[in-house]
Amino acid sequence: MHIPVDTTETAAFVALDAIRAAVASLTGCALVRARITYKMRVETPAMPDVGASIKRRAVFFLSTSDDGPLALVEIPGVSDSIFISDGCGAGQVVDTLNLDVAAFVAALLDLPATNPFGDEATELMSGNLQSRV
Amino acid sequence: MAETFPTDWREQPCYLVAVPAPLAPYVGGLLKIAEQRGFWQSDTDYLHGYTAVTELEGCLMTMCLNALLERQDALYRLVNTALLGQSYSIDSLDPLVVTPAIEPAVDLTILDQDSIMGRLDRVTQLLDNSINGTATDLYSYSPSVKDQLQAILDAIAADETDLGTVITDLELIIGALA
Repeated sequence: MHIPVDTTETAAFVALDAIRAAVASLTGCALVRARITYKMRVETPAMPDVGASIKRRAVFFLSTSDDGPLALVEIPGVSDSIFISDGCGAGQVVDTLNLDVAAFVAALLDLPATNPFGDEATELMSGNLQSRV
Repeated sequence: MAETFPTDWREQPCYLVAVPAPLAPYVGGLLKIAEQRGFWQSDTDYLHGYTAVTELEGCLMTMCLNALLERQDALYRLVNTALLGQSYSIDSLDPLVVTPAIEPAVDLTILDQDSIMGRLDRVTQLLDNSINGTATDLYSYSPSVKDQLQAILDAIAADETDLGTVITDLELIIGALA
């Protein structure tokens, strides 16, 4: 269900807990988890490039502080220009020296981006093309 | 059914799996399911499983099999050149074509006297020629050490020479051995 974006995090979880209690009598299943997500919607999106596919993604692998598990970032409909063009891995391995890639990674590190365990990303290690849904 | 994952997975052996390049994006993508907490039975399984899966994805295209095999071939050529003196030339860089091709087996024929085996052969020939007087492909010094010693012994036995001549001959032998 939709919760207005200006709802505070605390209020959102209070509302979620109330829904959890209310729904308990309606189901034989036991609730094990619920999720609140924040989404941004572009009201007037630009036209995508012809042939761009949301399944065709670049996955960036970033090292994390204290040698934690890697942090992953996916870019759907990735542009061919960020992959190396010659030799082994051409068209599939992200060119980590590409200026656009470097700028994107810098923005990630500024957040800072983390892995699912909360370890902060520290450096781009590699990236490659994946077909993901 | 949720999966478990060993905590000592880093101590386990690894497999070298050849993945055709066009399939690599799909292989990586199919591993996405194992990045999710729900795939694993416990938080510990998730931590170790996620770590292993994402590291595998990260290195999936780090070094393709062609590059690995090319380096192995390069190492073979290095050894063959150093040991026997085989010369190679690059006919093409992409794809890499080097001639002569690597043979299934090689014999001990020395192709260049500046190789390791060639230099050992030089030493062998030099010693054989200097001491025994054997004429080799590279050395034909004469007289040999043995011949000169025998000449000295013969001269002393015949009492036909003086001490000065003996010393001069010994100096020649020392010079040959130096």
